[in-house]
Amino acid sequence: MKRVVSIILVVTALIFAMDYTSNAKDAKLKAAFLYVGPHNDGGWSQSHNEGRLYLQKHMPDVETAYSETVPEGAPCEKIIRDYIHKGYNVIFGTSFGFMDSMYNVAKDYPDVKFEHCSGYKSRKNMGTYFGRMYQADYLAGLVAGMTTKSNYIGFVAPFPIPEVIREIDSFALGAQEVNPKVTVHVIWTNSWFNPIKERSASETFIANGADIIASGCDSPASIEGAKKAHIYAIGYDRDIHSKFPKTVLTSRVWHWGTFYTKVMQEIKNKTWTSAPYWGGLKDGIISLGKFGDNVPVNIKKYVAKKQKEIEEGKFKVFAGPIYNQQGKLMVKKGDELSDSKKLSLQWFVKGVVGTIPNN
Amino acid sequence: MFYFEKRKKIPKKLQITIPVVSILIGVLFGAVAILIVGINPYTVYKSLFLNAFGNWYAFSETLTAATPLLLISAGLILVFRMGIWNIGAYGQYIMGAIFSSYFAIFMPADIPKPLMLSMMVVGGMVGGMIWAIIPAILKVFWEVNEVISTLLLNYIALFVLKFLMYGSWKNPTSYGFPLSKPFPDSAQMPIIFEHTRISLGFIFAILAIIAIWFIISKTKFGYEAKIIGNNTTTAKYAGINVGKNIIIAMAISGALAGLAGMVQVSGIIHFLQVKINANYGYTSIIVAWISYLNPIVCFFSSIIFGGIASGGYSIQISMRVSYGIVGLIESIALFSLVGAQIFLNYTLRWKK
Repeated sequence: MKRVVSIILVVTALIFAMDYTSNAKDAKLKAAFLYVGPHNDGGWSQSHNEGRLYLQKHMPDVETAYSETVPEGAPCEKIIRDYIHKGYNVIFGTSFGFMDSMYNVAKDYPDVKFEHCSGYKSRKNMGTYFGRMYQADYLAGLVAGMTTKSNYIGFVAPFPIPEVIREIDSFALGAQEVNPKVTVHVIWTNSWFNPIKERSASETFIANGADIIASGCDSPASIEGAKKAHIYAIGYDRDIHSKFPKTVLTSRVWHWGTFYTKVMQEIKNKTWTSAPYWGGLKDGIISLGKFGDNVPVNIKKYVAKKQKEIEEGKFKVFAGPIYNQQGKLMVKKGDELSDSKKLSLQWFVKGVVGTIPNN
Repeated sequence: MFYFEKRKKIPKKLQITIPVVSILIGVLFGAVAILIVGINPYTVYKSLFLNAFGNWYAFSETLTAATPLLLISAGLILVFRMGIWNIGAYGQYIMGAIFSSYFAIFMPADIPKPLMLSMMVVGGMVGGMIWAIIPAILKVFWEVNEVISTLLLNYIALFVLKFLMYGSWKNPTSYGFPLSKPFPDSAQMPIIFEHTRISLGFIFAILAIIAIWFIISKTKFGYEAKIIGNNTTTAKYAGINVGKNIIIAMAISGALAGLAGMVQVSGIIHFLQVKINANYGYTSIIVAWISYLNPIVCFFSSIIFGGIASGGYSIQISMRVSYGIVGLIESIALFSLVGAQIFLNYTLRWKK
């Protein structure tokens, strides 16, 4: 027994003698990215990974790394701590559910900078960033509203959180503006990345007469369903026109690279603050993708005109009058929904069919 | 032709060799999987080892992961020794987390910390206990197979958790995302080493394993448990109340798994959510078996498996190896271990 104990003691002593990481004095900028899905999911996480590669190309002195399929929960915090102990000093969390883990860790490591996508909790060393995707959603809604014949559009949606509700509402506002008869139907998958559920939601819509499928989920699985049924779809996250030239009417596209480069440049110049970032069409963080092969010129022209108005600030997507599902006036004529109300949006506009759980 | 002959005495040497070889076989199969991905397995395993034991931060994370494993496997040792196959630690862990979180979420936050934590500890243990007593009663009174009932109760526990997280326990300010309110400071288990995540729970785990060792080797109940494990009929003839013993052992096992759930939400996560690492409930089965149901060995195997779990996250970062490799190593190790049991009790002979 004595021998066993002494062996264990020696081994432990050796282990601590091997202490091999030294991260404190490392001045080099090292940025770690956390993805909720695979880096090549064809949607959300891939758009962030493309942003990371863009950053890598434009700032070769910054070292980057990523972890994919990071669970939104306990393991996330562990992964962030591991990165910090490997000397990473900037953490980009690209999913809403990473918020509390990042918030916890940010408290323990005031020298590390955190940037969280789509959340609302911040600290001196933890900022939030997102894009006004609702502007592109609205434009895509215009295209869909003018294209649909059955007036039934299916929207495959992940979680009932403001980010997603905003997408559905702005999309429906666009569709309703050009076609008051149109209805946007919602199915929740309660998951960011679940191609099987997304595909089956899409098939449910098609069986009920949908002729356009839109999605707020991370994979293009619902569009595959639309392609198979020879109906139209709206792309999300990335411009997927080249993959589905006939199916896709247009895509709502993220361009994270410019933002990531901007943040790292600011951190390098020591001008970075944790102020929230919420750019729109004119900032280039979002855009409308290529139009599908079958979209006629008159629709393209109309959408281009509206896009210009949004970019110039002449037109606001959430300008009144806006009615909710029950027909109650929510935003008066001449008013606009404030940014803070947009960020906490918990109701559907007129023309949306579906419920928000717990309301 | 080969045939098996029963050994008269189990050789001590084999008791050590078999678990070690089982883990090595698991590591070997893991290496094949890593080779297929096109990475050098040696560098992966070296990195795994360094990320589990290589420095104080890594080792502290290993102990953090070992804490729930130790708590759960301590209880499993007791029931497994009786021949009761409690596969339900996963669900008992979840129920413990739910019951203890109730106090953290719904009690006033300014309750003194010792009182709040005591309520949570008791709540967690009661939660796990209830979930373990149900299959115990079903087994004792209606002879329902506990493997099936404990396993199925795991899914029910998970759905109860989901029901609460998507429903009434959801934080009103999480805007529809399935998370509870963050725990107030009074509901957060104190950390025992600064700048680590090793909480008071680690002390609980050490006390638990000592208590189980004491019960097994020093009490009448432990002795009866051993007899029941060897032969239920003999135990009955010897006048042992088998049913009562089974229910008590399951209650202890469930309470410890529930305590592990409480330690995790209160010490590490600080809010309740769907992903609370309940898989520790399954890993602990392997830990208990690899220790040959010996509490002292179990202490070390928990740390080894805690290291594999914690280092597994890091190799994902440094080597781009999927975390799935950890599950692969663990499950093949268990598979070889169970398969090798036969060599423990039997010896292979050749007959013409």
